[in-house]
Amino acid sequence: MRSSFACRLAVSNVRQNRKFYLPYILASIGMIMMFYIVAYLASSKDLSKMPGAEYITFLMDIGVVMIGVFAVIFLFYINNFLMKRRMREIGLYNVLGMEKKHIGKILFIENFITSVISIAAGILLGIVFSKLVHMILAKIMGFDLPIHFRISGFAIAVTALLFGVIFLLVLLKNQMKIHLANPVELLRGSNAGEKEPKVRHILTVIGIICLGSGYVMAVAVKDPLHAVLLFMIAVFLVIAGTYLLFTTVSIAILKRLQKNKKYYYTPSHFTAVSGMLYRMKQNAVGMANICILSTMVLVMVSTTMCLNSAVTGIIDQATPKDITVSGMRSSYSSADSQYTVKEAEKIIGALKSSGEKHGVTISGIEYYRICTVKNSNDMCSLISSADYEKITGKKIDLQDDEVLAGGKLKLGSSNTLYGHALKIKEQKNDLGLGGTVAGINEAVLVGNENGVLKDVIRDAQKSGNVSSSQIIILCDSNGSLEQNKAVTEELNSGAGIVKATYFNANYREEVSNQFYGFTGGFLFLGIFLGIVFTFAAALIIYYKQISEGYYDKEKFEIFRKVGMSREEMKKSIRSQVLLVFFAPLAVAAVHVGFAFNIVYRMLTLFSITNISLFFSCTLITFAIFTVIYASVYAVTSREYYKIVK
Amino acid sequence: MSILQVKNLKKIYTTRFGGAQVQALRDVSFSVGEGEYVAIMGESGSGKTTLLNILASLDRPTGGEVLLNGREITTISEKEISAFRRENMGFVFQNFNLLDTFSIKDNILLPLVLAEKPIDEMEAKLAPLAQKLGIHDILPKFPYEVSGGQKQRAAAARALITDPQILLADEPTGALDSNAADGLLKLFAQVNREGQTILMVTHSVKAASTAGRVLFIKDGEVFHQIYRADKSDEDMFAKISETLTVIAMGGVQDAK
Repeated sequence: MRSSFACRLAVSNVRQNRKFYLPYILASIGMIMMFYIVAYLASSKDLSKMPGAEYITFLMDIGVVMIGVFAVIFLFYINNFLMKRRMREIGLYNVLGMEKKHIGKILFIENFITSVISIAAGILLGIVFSKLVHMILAKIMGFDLPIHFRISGFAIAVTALLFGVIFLLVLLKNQMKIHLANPVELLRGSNAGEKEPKVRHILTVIGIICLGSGYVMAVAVKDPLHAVLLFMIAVFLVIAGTYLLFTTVSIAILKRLQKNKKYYYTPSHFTAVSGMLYRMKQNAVGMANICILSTMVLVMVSTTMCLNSAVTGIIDQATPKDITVSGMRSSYSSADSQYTVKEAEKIIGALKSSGEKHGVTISGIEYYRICTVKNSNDMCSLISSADYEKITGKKIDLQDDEVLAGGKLKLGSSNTLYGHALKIKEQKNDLGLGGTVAGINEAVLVGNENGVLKDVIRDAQKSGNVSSSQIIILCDSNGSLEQNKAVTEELNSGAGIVKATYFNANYREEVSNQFYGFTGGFLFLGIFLGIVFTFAAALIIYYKQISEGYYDKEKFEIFRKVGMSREEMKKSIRSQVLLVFFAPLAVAAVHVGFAFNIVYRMLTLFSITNISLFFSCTLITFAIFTVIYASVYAVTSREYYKIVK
Repeated sequence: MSILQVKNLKKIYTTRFGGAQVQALRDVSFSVGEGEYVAIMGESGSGKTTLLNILASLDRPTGGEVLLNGREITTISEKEISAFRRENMGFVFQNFNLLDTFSIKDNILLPLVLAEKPIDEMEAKLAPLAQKLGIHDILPKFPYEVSGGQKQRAAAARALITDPQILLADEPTGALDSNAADGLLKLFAQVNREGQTILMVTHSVKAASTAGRVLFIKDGEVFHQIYRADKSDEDMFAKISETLTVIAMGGVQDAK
């Protein structure tokens, strides 16, 4: 076969199948564009100069990996879909006397054309939009830095390489498939999925167990750190459970309905149950994909939205006053492990003199000290009753051997800590310290400084069990941004004011920049990936609508001839199609509902305790997503009805 | 007594933008008596399929009337037509039109399910019919698992299970090998002997030669007809072939 002929054939194939190829190419372009932009941002020098840049760059790196992995899965999935549609045509070529190597050649040219177009257009659009996205990112983070238009050679190379390899693998897979198939199989190809699905009991049970245990984990977890650990496991279980739910559990249920003759042999159930059985077989994986993508979008966007809208509150908590100085030392074996009042005064002195030097009046100074000791496998923070009163504003009256216990404090059976008996005057989960001061563990012990606390610290220290000691000094300042900056910089450079492993003075704006960098970057990535996933879900929906359409067209005719009225038929098919398309969204909503607790627990790590804020963020995200989903459905169902009519 | 009466049927197709008009049926009149087995023959494009679609109430004529058991079917409303079709007519198609999503059994029961009959009654009807058509052992299978002949017998069972006034068949042997075709034709002859009225559209001489009467359509009109009287299948075959040759030569109406 001459190459020019193969070329012409390939080009005309792509053109004739444009109903299938165009969305594929557009999706590839979109995916490549998004990938380029994230890769560009990850390697951008402008971005790394922004305040809070280290988080952004890190988050963009995560984005690069996520989109890359997703692109591989997604492009393979869509390609499967395309090939299934085209099997008959390829089989016909084969039967008409084209050798498999000729078909392979045509496929190669086709793939080459679509790949080159996708990669070139994707990178081009990526370059065009990268500046816009960069500006949006800066805006979200609240910075007004000049942004230069740059083209990142590195990002281009990475993008082209990654997608080149993906397309090559897709091509190899198609070639293999054709080589292994015989012409008759190929001819039958697009009808292959019509075998009746079988009930697979073991997988059904596994599916229910996966989903159930994922849900239980997500709902039961209380501790934020456990939540982070369990989150990945729960996500994995729920993803596995979702696939099994759609592929096997649904079929088991439908089969059961079919066995019930009284239920099954009535006009509405008869067509619906068997129709759904068939559709589930064809669409189960697609539906599971849509469901998982939707869940990801919903969780990601609602979480980042919540983070971003709570960020001012977080900053208020992290830096309640204009300037914060914190010192920490860890694993000191000498007697000076706990910061003393003298040391606190030394720092305050340095702060004041530095203030005077830069023309700033320092006022409203507060300080408190925290000592963290090991307690079996956990950490326990020790706070003096005087500091406790300062932080919470509550008066407490403790005897020297009395303590307040808070959070998850677990003591031995005889209520001893390092050999000292503790009289617990009061124990409750929330002592009112949570989220107020950075560096306080969940397990807290409050006692008089010169009482039992002192003995505990001393003996913990002897056995090398003091993990860290902290001092935090807060104050107001009447200075400008530059003055505050100068004061904190001077304090930071004058190391050795007190002994410390870590010593840092910062002013409010510095902290808020870091936070905005972090949460803004998060929000950006959340929305960005949300768009990518929504994109993908929309495309899967489109392909499903079209294939359903071709199938239903035949079915429509037969039903009409057997004596089902047009209206009955429309109603039945419409309800099935609606079910197929909105079931994934409904399941996603259930997933999000169950994920609420675990995500909320993780958010408390960022000092977000406003549960109603998170709730409304979730609700808003869900509402917006539903509108997008429904409009995708509306647009694509037009294609569907065009085919059916 | 005639069960089906067709009077001066006309059908004109107009292209979408109202341009050219194509006359598919010019003026067709005939009637089918109760218990008769009538075959309609004609070349491609002679209007056979149009005629059958109108008889099946899947299409509406431009003029003329169709009476089934004395009832004018061309004026039945769209709402009632499906139920009417379901209760009075049975269909067998060239390409079987079985649904792949249903087992053979469910395919056959489909019209009864649509008519909301109780399941016990359905099964009571199905058992003897399946036995008679020789498909009782493939009932739980799916259409893609059985042969063409079996599929067509299943389709016939679906058509017969409602005890229709008339069985309409469109090229029922068209997609079958000659063995399966013979089997199906024997079956048609048998149910006809048991009193079932059959109207079959075909261009297979063999299929037509099993009928009691053969109508020939040409250019949208009934051109000629042959009665079996007491002819054997072989004589019918010869007679039909002869007529077709005459028609093909541009013969004269009622050449005899």
